[in-house]
Amino acid sequence: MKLIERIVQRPERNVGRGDFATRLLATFVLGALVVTVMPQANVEFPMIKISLLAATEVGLITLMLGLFLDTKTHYAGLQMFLGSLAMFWLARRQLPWAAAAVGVAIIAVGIINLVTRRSRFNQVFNLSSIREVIESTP
Amino acid sequence: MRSMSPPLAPSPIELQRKNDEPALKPRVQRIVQVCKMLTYFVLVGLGARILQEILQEVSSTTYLAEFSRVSGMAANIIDVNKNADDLLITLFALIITFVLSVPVAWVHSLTKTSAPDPSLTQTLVVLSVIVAGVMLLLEDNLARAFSLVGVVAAVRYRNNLIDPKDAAYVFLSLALGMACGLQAYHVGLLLCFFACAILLVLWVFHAGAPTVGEGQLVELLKGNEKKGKRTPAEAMAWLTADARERVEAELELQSRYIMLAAQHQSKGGKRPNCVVTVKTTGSPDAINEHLDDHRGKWELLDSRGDENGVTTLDYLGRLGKKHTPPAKLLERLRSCDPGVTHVEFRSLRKMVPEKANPDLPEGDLSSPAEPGTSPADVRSTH
Repeated sequence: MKLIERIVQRPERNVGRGDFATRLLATFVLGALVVTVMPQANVEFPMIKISLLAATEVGLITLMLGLFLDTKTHYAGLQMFLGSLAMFWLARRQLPWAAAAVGVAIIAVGIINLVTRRSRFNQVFNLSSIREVIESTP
Repeated sequence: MRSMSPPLAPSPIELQRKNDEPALKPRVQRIVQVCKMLTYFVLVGLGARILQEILQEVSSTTYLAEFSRVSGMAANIIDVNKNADDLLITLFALIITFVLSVPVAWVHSLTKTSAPDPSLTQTLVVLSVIVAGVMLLLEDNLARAFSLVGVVAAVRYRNNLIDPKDAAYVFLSLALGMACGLQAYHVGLLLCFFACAILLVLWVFHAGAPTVGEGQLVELLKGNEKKGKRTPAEAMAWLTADARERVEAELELQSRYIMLAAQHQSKGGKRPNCVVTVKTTGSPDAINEHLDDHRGKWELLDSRGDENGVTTLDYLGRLGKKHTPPAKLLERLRSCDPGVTHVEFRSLRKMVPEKANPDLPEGDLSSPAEPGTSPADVRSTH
């Protein structure tokens, strides 16, 4: 909770307008997928495929929300979409550990971006998820 | 003494504000929106492909076999041949509908005589495409048709069309959509061509439009006043510039007389209700004598002469209903002096100003119109 308060109290961090919530969701989803992909979980491949593709679908929907509902969920959408797709590609090639490693790497990058600095992705596209906060600041 | 501090570096918030200021022009904004829309459709296509993959996996998975409806839906979606067939037919029907509805919208915007309504013009195109899609969905299925009736009844889509001709365009658009939706393209094409041709011919020849003249304008104003509708501006729009100037000058003069009549009303007495204007090149004595003898209690309002030696005399008086207009008096005035060139009677009966202007000088007809004495300020109490 302290972490959340700290992030919310510092508006220069780019985590407003649904950005923070969806990034958290993406982190949890990717975490669950990493657990599912690992050989120790004993999950059959069709189930893994369905889970990964469903996560990709959720990522796409999040990306589409960012496009048209004026929410800033692009980062989380791309994170989920690309992460799940990469994990699926590796899992289909019988590389479950590599898939898990990619998942962990994407989660780590996401957490680092979430806690330490603004999203590079948002900077590249000149997106601001805290525009309203800045405009309301006297 | 305090030293001057260096200017503060901009805060991250200020920097962000500077970066975020929208400097995009409307045209660029529109292009960005179109690009976003295209991206959205690409994502939808990608999502559909992924969904198809998921459903294919679901249909082949043994431990999800219990979900029979999900498996059925998956099998139905995977039937690529049928879907592609449907897609092609739908695409063809929608394109033909669009192509046929564009001339209808074009003719509508072309023949629109009142203010343009882009919303309706665009609706004509979209409506026919939607109806075509609905007809494709219904096919020959009676149950679907009844469902559609139920759904449509729940939606309040009706709108009051100001111009009755707009209703014809809407019906034409619906008919085109139905024709293309039922794949009767030849009917749609012929209907579109024939209806557009008829509408254009009617527009070119102004079919049904009355020949507008000043006399009809007066009738229109009277009719509207009787109905409680007072739309002089609307009627004025019918006239040519010259005619409009004449009517406006006439109305202004009338309103001036009404104001003066209100000011000449004696305390507790009755208000003058008519004006006689006489133009003469001779002496006004004979005219004054005739008017003194008359029952109307005429009072000379104004006397003004022009370069040609013509004197215009305005008399304000009051007459009973039975003696209005005073035909004999006017005849006598015309013949009382050979110099009289013109005699005009103007009734002010039942015309009262909205509010009397006390600043207007009595009998001064040559002064410019006061700002508050426009024709609109004069109220008729018919």
